[in-house]
Amino acid sequence: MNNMKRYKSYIKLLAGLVFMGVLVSFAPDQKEDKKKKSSKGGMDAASEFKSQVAGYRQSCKAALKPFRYSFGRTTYFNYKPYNTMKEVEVALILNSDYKFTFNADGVTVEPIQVSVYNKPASYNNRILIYEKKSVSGGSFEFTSEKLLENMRNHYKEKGLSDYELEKILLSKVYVDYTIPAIDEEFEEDPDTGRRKVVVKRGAIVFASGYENLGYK
Amino acid sequence: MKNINVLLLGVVIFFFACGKDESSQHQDETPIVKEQITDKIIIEESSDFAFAPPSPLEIAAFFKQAGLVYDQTILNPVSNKDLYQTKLKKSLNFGVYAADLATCVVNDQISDAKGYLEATEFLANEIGMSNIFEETAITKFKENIGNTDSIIMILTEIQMNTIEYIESNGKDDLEVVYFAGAWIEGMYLGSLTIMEQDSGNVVQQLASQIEFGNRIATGLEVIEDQDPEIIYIRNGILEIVNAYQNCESVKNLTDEDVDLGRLQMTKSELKEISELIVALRNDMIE
Repeated sequence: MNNMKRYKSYIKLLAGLVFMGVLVSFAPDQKEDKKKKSSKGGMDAASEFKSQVAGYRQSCKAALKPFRYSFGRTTYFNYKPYNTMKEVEVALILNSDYKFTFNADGVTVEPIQVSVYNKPASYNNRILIYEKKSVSGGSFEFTSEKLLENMRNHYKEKGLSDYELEKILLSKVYVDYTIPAIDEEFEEDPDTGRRKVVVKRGAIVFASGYENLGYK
Repeated sequence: MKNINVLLLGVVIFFFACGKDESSQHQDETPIVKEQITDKIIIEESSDFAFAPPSPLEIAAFFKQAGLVYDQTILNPVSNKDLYQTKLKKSLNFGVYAADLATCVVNDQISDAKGYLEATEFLANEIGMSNIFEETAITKFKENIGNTDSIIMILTEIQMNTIEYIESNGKDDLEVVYFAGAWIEGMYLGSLTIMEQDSGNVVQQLASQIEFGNRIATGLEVIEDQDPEIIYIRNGILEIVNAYQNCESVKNLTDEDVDLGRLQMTKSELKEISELIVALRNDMIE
């Protein structure tokens, strides 16, 4: 009798486990299922954006003329509810003349700020050698000569002689993109019915070109 | 028994709850490696390889201008291309050959350059970057032998296609390895220039390039597949950077000294760093 009771209990437990297993496998929030949906939905928008940015890269490179292409770098970002900054380190060949072009057609949500320094953000006493506020859409450019001139002005104010000013070198510059905070927006996920943050993307394209190879 | 069932039900509910949390955190941005707060701005260092090095052509032209005499025997022999069996070795030496190809071109050694172009194309195909070479690249190259400007245009196109391929396909890992190869070869050629010429300008340029090593080492560190060879290359680069930073001539420099090109390294300091560079480069091309 006791054995029978124990047997029935085991059957109940087994049935309970099977039921729960079925419940888990058909649950709409299953992790695997969720992953597929979110990556599919997310990837589509992201891929579309990347394809648009590829077009901006072409414009940015074309704007280098008559300078020759040296390098290009696309910086992607997502707007956050706080200010963020992304930095690109650009190495230059000493005594070469460069042109830097930017395409901001991928900056559509809120304008960003572009600042160029002689040292990375980890330095307290770096020199600001170029700044452009409210960058949103369109393109702009400047040359290394302009940056060098601003460096010279900085040291001139510190009382350096013309002889020393001529020796100033610009071997690296740091391009900082400051992305302003935005108010987060939420939307309902059509698959899960849950509230999620609306991802607001942006991208800025940078290209550098040199005037000549110097040795000729 | 009822208690056990309740417990099991609780476990299931717990797993459901965990799943919901993960979903609400979903964001499709590149994962942030490090965050640092400065004046209410969050500096984001993503896994993007956020640097823009000079092209191999510019580096080669700089060393030529500084007095490096062309000598084919100092370059990585074209025949070595068949030695590289792993994707890492192929990618590294794709960078090395790109630097050597540029060296040939700026020195008007176009027949040597042809071999390096073919070696570069061979390795590009091996690492899945065949798209960077337009079908006509080699043909155009052959047609323009004797016209260095046109050859430079072809190389510039290849450089542009390489960067476009990397950016379009999110090949951060490949990019950092390629740049590591080109960087080491560029540093190697720079070291040879310093040994041959006593040029202050080369020291400044080399110093600037060495500092770039930190960025490359960081890039190598975030590669997912930490192959022992990657660790070896990364450690070799860091050894060069540390040796440079520990030089007395460098330790005493102020920011202003660097900006005004006041760096002057002693011969023994240059020799020590050059030896490290040459050793790492020779290991890399084997």
